[in-house]
Amino acid sequence: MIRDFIRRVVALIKKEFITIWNDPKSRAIIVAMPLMQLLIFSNAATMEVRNIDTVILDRSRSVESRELLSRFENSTRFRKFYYVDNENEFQKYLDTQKVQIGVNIPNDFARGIKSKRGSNVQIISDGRQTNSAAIGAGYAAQIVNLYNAELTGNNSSGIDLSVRNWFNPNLEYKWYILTIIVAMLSLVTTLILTSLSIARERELGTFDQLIVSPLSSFEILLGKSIPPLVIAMTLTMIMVGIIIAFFHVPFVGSMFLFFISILISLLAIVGVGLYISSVCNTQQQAILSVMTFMMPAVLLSGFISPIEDMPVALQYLTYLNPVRFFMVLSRGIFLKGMGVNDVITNIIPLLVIATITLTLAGRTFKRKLG
Amino acid sequence: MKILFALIKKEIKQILRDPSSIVIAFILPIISITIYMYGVNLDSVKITMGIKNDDNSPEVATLVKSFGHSKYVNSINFDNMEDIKSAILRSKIKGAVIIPNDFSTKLSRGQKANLLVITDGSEVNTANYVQSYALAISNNWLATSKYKSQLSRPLINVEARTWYNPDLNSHYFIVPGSIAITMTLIGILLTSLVIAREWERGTMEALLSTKVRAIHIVLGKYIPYFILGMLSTAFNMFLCVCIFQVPFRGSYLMFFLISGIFLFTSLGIGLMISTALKNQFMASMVAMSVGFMPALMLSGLMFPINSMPTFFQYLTMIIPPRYYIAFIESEFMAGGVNEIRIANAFYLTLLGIILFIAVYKKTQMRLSND
Repeated sequence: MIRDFIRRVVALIKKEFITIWNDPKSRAIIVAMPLMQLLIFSNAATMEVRNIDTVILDRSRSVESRELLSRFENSTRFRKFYYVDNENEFQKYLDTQKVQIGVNIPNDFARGIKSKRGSNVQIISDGRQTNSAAIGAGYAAQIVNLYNAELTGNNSSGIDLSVRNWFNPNLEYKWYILTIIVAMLSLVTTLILTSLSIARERELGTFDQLIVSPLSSFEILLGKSIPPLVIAMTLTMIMVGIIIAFFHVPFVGSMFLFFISILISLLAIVGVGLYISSVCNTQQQAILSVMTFMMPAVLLSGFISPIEDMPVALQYLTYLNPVRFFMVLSRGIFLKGMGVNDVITNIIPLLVIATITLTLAGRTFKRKLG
Repeated sequence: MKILFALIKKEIKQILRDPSSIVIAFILPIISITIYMYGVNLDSVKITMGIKNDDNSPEVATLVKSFGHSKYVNSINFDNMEDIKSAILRSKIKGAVIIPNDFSTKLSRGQKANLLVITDGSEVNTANYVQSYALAISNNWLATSKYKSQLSRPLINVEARTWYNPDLNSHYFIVPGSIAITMTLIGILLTSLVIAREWERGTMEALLSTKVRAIHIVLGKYIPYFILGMLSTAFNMFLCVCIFQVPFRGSYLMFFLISGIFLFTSLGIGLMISTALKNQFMASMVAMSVGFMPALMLSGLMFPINSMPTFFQYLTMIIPPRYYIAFIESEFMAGGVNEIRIANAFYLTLLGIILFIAVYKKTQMRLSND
């Protein structure tokens, strides 16, 4: 009995590997596409605002204003400076997005400082890029405030922050984004692999043959979930290896817990993919349904904006979202060394999702034949 | 001409028959724009943080209260470091503020008082929020506390302004950005499947044995999906402006004109992929990797292009969504800026024509070879 069972499942697994793995082009795509994206996105995706181009309208033209502007020029955050003479030109640089920040110094600037009356400096940011505008304006304000402190000679009173960033002392953006990129790429690959597997057979008409074969639904389910799981798991581990070896992101957690968590996360995603695949008749339907699942799942995973900040109804909805737990686990174990108890609380929902989706997928096979 | 019409009619019938293309064009936008509006917030994010007060002066108790009253902070009081540690590890809080026992003594002596801030560095974005909120709240408190007389008045006052989006409402740029994402999905992902499907099912061979010419096949795919894409764009625009009240300051004519050019370019990528790969699995993997993911990560929608390393800034030049996002953000928030319209429309047209010729040549080659 058991031997027959294993023989049948192994045969199906072999067949599944042959369809995706035998064609060298398809093999190359499965491996090369995620790795290429990992290398490009990890280098390009950063929220550390740099290379800020600035337009300057200095109507004071005084020692003081030049002193302030030289501080901008010496800052590593700022790149190019355009000096203009009038408001119109100033506005034009901002309108056409040649610059991201504008600094406007009024003509009574030096007088205001000398007479101790005080003066204003206008810092204008381009709100079309809301995020980087706020960050860039923050840097500019910092420069002005440092100059301020020097002028007033006041460094003695007030509040100083001493900041400790745990798990990532220098707040390296790369550490954070790399763990997310790896999770995203394995999510996409797993979903495409699984969602197409049944839909493809149905589109080509071979699924009926599979159903009338001696294979039971459970055996089909095993044969359909193991190959994508193995491929996705291998790919994820290669990517994790790359970010440890080449990007020097420190892995602080337990490798064993990490492996188990990723495996269960991927199993839940395989479940979602197979369920989608089992209800779709064509590959187009499968891929587009995957997108309809993936967009909200990624947006509500907590990586783009924190879950506590969402409306309560959406917060509850995220409990159904495998991507949420996947992100928490991969980042939590990798960067924070999450302990066994916390890992288990995040794994349980994933196991529930996997069980439900895989059961549904298995039942749908049978029904669809009738 | 007759042949072309027949091909277009066939394609439109296929689109209408398969509910998935309707879902992607009209249902997914409703879902994602709703999520962008209510579930995603990139400005004034509310952060949960811990606070531990070791200074029992009554004045400092008001500082703890001002953390509690801030609308940006959800504060939880802690008594010992161990609890803070475990709360950060379990992501219950994103950071903590610790008020040392000599805080009020130092302030009343006119010295610098230290405030210890701990952040969860594994989430770089929220770690930055914790720092800046802690600084802002404590400085505001200081300015109204009894220690304010110790402070010297700053000589230069920074007057920060954000043009085009004065409230720094991030929805005003994310929601229009989602139009670009939907168009990428239709233009690249959906169309990448259509020619590949015909090869896979063998209907392409049937078509090739008739008198159909390459230009008919190419236009027969471009035109129907262009229509679908433009309808979806109009629907997206309706959702953005009429339902979700995102302010639109530009011209509708320009919006639809340049959106059309962008769609034409995206269709080129999608058709190129499916003509080259002839297999829906490979086509969808490649479409996700060179179409959808770069539209998210490299287009400037999520990560500022200016901050990327130089090589990657050049790389973004071959990514059509980059130009479209720049255009659409400006058109929505700043109104029409001709330089931005012309520059972006020019690059999009150029890329679109190159892709069209490439698709045409490739189809012609297929006609003579296969």
